[in-house]
Amino acid sequence: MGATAGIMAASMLAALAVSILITVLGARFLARRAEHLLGSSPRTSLMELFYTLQAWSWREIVLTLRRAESGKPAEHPMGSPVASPPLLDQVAFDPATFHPNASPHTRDIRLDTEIGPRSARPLRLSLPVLIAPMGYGIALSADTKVVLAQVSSVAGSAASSGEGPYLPEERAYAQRWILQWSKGPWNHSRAVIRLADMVEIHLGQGAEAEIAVHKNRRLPRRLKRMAGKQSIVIRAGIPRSFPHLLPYLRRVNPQIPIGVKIPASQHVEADLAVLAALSVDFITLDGSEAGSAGSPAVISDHFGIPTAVAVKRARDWMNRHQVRHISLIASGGAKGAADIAKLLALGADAVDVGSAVLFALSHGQLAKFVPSFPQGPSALVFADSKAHPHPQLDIGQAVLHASRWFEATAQELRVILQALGLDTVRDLSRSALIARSSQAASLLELPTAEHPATGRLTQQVASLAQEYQRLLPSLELQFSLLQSRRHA
Amino acid sequence: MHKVVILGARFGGSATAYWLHNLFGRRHPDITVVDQWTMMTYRPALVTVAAAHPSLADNWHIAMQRRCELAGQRFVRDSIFRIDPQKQQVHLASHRPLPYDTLFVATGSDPGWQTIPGLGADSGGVCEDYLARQTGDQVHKPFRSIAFAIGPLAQAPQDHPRVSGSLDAPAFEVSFLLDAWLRKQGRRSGVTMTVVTPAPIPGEAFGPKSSAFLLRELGRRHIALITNARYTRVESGAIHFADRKPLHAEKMMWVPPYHGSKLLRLSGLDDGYGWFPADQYGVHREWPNIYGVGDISSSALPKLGHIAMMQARTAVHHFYALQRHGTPAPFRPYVLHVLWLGHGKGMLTISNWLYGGGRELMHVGVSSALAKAAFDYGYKVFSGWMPVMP
Repeated sequence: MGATAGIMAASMLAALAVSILITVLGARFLARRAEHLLGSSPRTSLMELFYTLQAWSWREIVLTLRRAESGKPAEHPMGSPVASPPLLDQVAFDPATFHPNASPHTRDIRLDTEIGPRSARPLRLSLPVLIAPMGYGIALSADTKVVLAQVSSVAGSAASSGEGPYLPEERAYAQRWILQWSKGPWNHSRAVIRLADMVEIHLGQGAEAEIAVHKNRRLPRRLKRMAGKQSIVIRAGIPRSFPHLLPYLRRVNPQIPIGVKIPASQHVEADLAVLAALSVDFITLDGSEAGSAGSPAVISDHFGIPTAVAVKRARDWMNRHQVRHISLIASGGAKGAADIAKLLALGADAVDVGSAVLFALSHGQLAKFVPSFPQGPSALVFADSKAHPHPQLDIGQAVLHASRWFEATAQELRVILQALGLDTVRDLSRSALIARSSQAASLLELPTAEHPATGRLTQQVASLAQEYQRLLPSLELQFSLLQSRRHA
Repeated sequence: MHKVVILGARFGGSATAYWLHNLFGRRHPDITVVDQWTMMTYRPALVTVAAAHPSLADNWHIAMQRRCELAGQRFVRDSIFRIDPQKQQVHLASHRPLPYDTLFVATGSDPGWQTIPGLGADSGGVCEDYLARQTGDQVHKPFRSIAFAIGPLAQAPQDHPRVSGSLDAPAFEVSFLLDAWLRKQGRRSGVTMTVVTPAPIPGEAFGPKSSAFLLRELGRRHIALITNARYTRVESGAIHFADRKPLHAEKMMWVPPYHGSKLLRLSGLDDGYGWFPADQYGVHREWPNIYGVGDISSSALPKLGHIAMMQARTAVHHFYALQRHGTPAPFRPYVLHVLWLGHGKGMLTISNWLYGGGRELMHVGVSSALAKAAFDYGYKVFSGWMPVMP
């Protein structure tokens, strides 16, 4: 017995010694290879990846490979990076202290707002957040649309049809339902217009500008049945009938707000002038950060101006021209309460949120993909044909999580307003914001954390003019005294 | 072939489809059922969802499209926009107008959230799956007070009998079930519960015995009761009244006001107050080929599933009698309801007291709860087409 134990101990020690030797020699071999690799020509070794990633982002590499695979314009979902860090992250809030007085209230901070105040039945929201338009079939699955409709009702927000066809269950669940008048082949009947609480004419969007959209793959069978064909075409540009469209929609449903969605462009002021003349009730500006289920990357990543800049310029133009009856909706890039509050402070009346709500509703269900399904988590919410099986969305769980996201966002908005000393979300203004970078300061004309005297030029000119105004009466007095003495 | 269209596939619509199938057999007319949902939500079960069991919400969906199609009926999923009684067409949101020879309207009453300033679906509710789920989720969080409020019923002045509240049973059921659940959690002593009703007594449609029992039970369980409520506005955390101090409540659960049907108003088929003016057979007073079934009908009082099922039976038997030259039986309403009390008990009421009769049977106990559970599961298993229908 003792001899056997001794033999076993000796064998184990020998095995340990051998494994240590192999490890040491192996590590030395690998180190030598790595050293050789670092010194070798990058054209013929893995080191080229190092140089590639210095010049290329993973994003561009993946898009390039996608183009090579399909021979078609590459697409990607979930928005585009416009600035790094994102422009809204380059802005901070100015906390209330003695000036302006911090409000003592911790309750009764109001978040309600309304879109289209001039219309007979404005769209009243419990908080200034709208669920971004994402159409059935061309973007989201029917289950996801049902979730969003239910969430909109319990959160006091509104659901939108997006560019997809009419879903009766979405209308049934949503207490407030926005019809997006798309250039697709559906949703143009008088009945659908009459069922809407607001109509948004979709002329274009940040991720697609105003190009045509063709879809023939991954379309659900129900969508094809509704469209009556195998492929979908959403036409490009501004429809010829556009000048007559607004009066037509008003005739069919005269009580509700009717507005337009456009991509945020460098000539946003000119666009606003045209739309204001048409007497729209609201304008949605879709910034270049906005995503879609699949838009050409050459458009979504390389066109337009950031949402924050568009909103700021639009509000400036509207103030200059005393346009107070048109509501402004910001769309694209808002990830949470802080971004929403910043966009409201820059001049928006409400903010569209898309990706964040999709993330929230998917919470707790992503583990279903591992290890059986090769798709990304977005397969849970995006529309697809039955040829690509993927886990089913648990509607109940999704509604609970997305509702909690709304609840948390409302609480966070109240916390922000409390820290700013404000009682209502409508009091948010640009004076609550500080630029954290020179880029944000110049794009959004915000003061930086530097001494106000070294702030932007316009501020300096304004304060100079104020000083002169104060000085003017005393100068006039002195002048008149001098004149009177001379006459005397 | 005679074209029959049924609008709505909940209690009333489903029972109408059943009776058409049952009476006419395989030689039934051309039947089309229209609803915006292919899955019916079995609403009586939602009270258990609102009472802290949100995950049960999705257990109570019944595949009504499949049920109808199995019986050879056509199912159209769409929103119903307008009825044109002259052209005998139903206008839908995304389909061509649907022609009919006989129409059964069973689309229910629209919730009148907007009739009380500040009230909305986001105030909390129980009458739809998503509202009950939300309420059931909310009560898991700490709170100190909750109100179970019943909206008013906007009846036409000439309607008889008179009922003040839209539907009070769910509010009492959730309050009792939640009371039992909170006690089990050891949280009940820290929560103030109040039921608010526009009616002068609890259980106004049931009868004096049931009302007296409800009053005693509310008192025994320390659930406050506000009667004759006249709401002026609602805000986050408070309900305001015309003639009393506001009620402060951290959480709320509303049975919304019922103010008739937008579809009827838009179609010019209502009685001036949004309700379907029906005779004793459910036939429209101006259009003899249109029947009203369930909550939408001015004669459906109280707005219970049992009443809707009885009305469907009366209406289809009337239609059948006309086709076969028979003599139909008029609508003879009586209330049959089991109200959950929690702790495994229920209150069974069979009563014609509301309609001027003098009978009321009331029984409280486990057997009543078992009867209700059996009906609920039976309804789900048979997709609403049970072997024995009321």
